[in-house]
Amino acid sequence: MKTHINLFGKPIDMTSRTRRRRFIVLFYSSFAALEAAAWFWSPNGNEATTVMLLFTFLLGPLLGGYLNRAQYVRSEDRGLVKPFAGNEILRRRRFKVSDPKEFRNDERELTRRDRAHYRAYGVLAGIITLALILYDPPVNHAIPVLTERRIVFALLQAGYLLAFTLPAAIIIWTEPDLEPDSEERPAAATLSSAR
Amino acid sequence: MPNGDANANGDKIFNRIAVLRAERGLSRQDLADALDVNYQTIGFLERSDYAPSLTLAFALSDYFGLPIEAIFSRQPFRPLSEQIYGSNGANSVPASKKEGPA
Repeated sequence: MKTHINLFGKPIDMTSRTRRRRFIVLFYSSFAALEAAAWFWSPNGNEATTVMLLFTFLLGPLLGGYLNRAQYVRSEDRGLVKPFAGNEILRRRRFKVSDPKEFRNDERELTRRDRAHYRAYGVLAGIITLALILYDPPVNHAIPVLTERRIVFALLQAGYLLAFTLPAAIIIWTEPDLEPDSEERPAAATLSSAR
Repeated sequence: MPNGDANANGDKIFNRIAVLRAERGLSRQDLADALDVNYQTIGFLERSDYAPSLTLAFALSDYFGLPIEAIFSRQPFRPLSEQIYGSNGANSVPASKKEGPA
């Protein structure tokens, strides 16, 4: 994971987990607020779809993980989490990458990536189940059928955003405080060697 | 050897990587470059927050020129001072001097 993020050309330090968690809360709460406002303003859902696409394709890459092709090449454009497909892309050499080490996930990062997807998959399954139940309650209308189908559509929109961003968000949320990029090289021991 | 988040698995693997790295005057980045991993991963290894795969453990073993059991252990390592001077600390005589000629 990167230790900083570029926002409008200005690097912001993200080594602190508290700060990263605030960033995640800000990301999803602004999505929820804008989505709610869009539904309120335009009941047909067109504006809400625009908000969803904006967050998925323009703001989602701030988190990293799933990126579009343009963002693979310049490291300063990438989000906090390394590209999930980094190793595969390096293997195929489809992109000329200036910094393959920053691009490649090592074994710990691959473990983190896979665990985050496992947890995100559960959340998505829950959202789809909830949407289906609200759309057509299975128990003989024990739950009153929603006259507002918009809630189901909004849930699916949220699910769409989460499918692209939640694994990276989980990694950003759970990774402990990071160490800064540069570190003093310790003075070599003079009396003994572990060899 | 478990591979992954050591605490999550409830199986902690202790290691001497920090000591070995300091002895050789290496930064985490130097060691990470040699092993082809992220430098953050070296920090996780040193804090025993991550248990490496066998591949990485053997890579560390090759790099330091030590057997794996000299680097990793399922029990915490005794401090070197305690191993050399015994449990009495600074007041005791090193084991090598005890065995030497009077």
